[in-house]
Amino acid sequence: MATHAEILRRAKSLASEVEQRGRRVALLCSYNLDFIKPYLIVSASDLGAPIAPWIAPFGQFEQMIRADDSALWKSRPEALVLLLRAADLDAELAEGIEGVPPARRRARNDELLQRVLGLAREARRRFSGPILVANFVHDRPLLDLFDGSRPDGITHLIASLNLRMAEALAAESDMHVFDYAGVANRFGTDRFVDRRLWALGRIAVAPEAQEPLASSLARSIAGVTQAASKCLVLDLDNTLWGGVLGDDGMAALKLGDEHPGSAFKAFQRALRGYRERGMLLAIASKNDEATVREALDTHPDMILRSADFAAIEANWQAKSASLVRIAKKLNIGLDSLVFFDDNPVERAEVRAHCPGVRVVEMPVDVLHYVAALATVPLLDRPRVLEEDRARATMVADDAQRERLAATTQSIEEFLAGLEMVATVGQSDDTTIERISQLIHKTNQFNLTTRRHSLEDVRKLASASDARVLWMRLADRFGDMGLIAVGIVRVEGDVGRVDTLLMSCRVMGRGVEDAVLAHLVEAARELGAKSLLGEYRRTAKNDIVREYYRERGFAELSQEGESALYSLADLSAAERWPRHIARRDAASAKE
Amino acid sequence: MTDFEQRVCDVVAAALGESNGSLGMDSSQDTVDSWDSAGIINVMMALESEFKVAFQTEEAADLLSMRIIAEILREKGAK
Repeated sequence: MATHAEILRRAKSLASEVEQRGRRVALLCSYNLDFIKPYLIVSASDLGAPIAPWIAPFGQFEQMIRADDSALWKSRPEALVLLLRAADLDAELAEGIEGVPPARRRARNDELLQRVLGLAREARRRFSGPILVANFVHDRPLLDLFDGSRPDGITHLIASLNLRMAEALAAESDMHVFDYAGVANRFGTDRFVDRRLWALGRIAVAPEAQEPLASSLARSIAGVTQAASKCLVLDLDNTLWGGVLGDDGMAALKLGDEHPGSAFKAFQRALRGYRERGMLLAIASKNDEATVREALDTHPDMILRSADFAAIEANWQAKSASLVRIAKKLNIGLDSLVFFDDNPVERAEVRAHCPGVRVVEMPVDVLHYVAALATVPLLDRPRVLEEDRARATMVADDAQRERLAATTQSIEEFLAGLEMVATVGQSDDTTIERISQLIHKTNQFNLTTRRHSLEDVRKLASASDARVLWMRLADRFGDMGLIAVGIVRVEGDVGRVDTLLMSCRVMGRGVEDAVLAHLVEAARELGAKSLLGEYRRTAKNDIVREYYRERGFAELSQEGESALYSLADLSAAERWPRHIARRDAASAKE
Repeated sequence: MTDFEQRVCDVVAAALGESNGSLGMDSSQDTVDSWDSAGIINVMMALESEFKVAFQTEEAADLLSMRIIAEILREKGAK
């Protein structure tokens, strides 16, 4: 581990780069956090998600948050972190909750929680980005050995406080728990505070705990500000099970309830957990596909079955080629893939040929596989939406759709055979989180790639001259959920498409026409006679470069990599495609 | 300057945010602006992790010049 002096030197050398490229993160703290700053700069930089931290003078969180013109708001933060210790917030709690008579502890805790939540909500009135709120920990020796036996003991009081904080923040938009207690617990609560540093400088984190705290902070900040990886690509032999399927045969595989089979089984269980949180799983293996499917679906101890995988590439080609095919099949970028393979040669091959893919350095011993997963930062998801949970199932439905495509003759017949139903509506409380999620993660079918914050979307949705529109899609194989978002604004009689994006999974089915028809209609309702469409080029949205031209828009101007198009006459405009049935959701705005 | 003294100077310089080689054995709180109370805590943490020693709380108040620091470190058996 780097020494304190080394961290300070590295942070200093990173300073100018971080000022330019780092995400501006404001930290408000009830104790002296200045000493964390170099660790945070270094950790975030090592993570590939550089941060330019702005740290409020300690104890000044109330003033900073409540004054519109405070240095905090002048720092124009992109994310906000509240690190407030119970002991610093409340004099009666200063020497720990053990100083409060048990009868009053609950009331005390309620006050504390409300104060912290109140501050977060106060910040929200002035700030639309993500807010992380540290939870609580008893960071001093626990004097009562049987504290855990007492329902009103410190252990359970803090646990219930943290549970209620999690529930309250989950109900707020883009607010999340920063698991401060988790950091302290993993480090060891008895050693987490160095009493000397507290006495000398009101520093509540021991020197050795600063690196773990900073790295967890950096990862949490990345988790709420960056798009997560979308798919875990796994090798099979000696990764999902012990032994080599092709050589040893299915019966000889190490997978079961005894070591080492039990360790492989545990790894599969951990992977299933990621799948349940919305991560796609795929296989890239040098094997025969039929043998692989047989093993997956008939081995009695297999946790993950073939239906759990969104893509199975079992062949004898280079793994990099398999990864490219997986990305293509799932319509995601290579940089959304995380690759897990026990063989260092395969890892090197993928690193060399698929530079965007995140390759996990796997431990040699299978007992450490699960722990290795925990160190991969881009698998973190602050919030799991219903759509995420359902995605794995939806991708399985896709496989059925592909089979249908293979059996019907013409594209028209295929599309008609899908029996698509699109539901359209305007943003409301039940859809806004998903809309915001799509705005932040859609890269390919995204005409303007404007990453509006949740709060901005809310404002647009309630503006009289704008509409935030969405579309859900279902077909006879399943419900794909909310798949497209459009934002249209109208000035005078000219409408402008601010945002138009769609999940790539539904491309090529005429849904892209339905979305535009829906937008045109909304623009017309707002009084527009013509409509401007914009294409803003990014590294990933080449796929929609000709979108407007293909739909009868005339090019007005081209500037660098962007272009502006116009549809002069809305009366004759875009028709809703006949093969998609349309349903209107009740509008929230009316 | 001995190797040990050089190491002490480098670590203290890093702790105070000064450039490498800018401090010598004559440097002290009186000659370096960044050697303030926050600087002293950084010096303490940097010395502890570099030389694997531990300071008492009251010793922090003594970390005011390079010579005193070198002396305290030697007393603690650091090389």
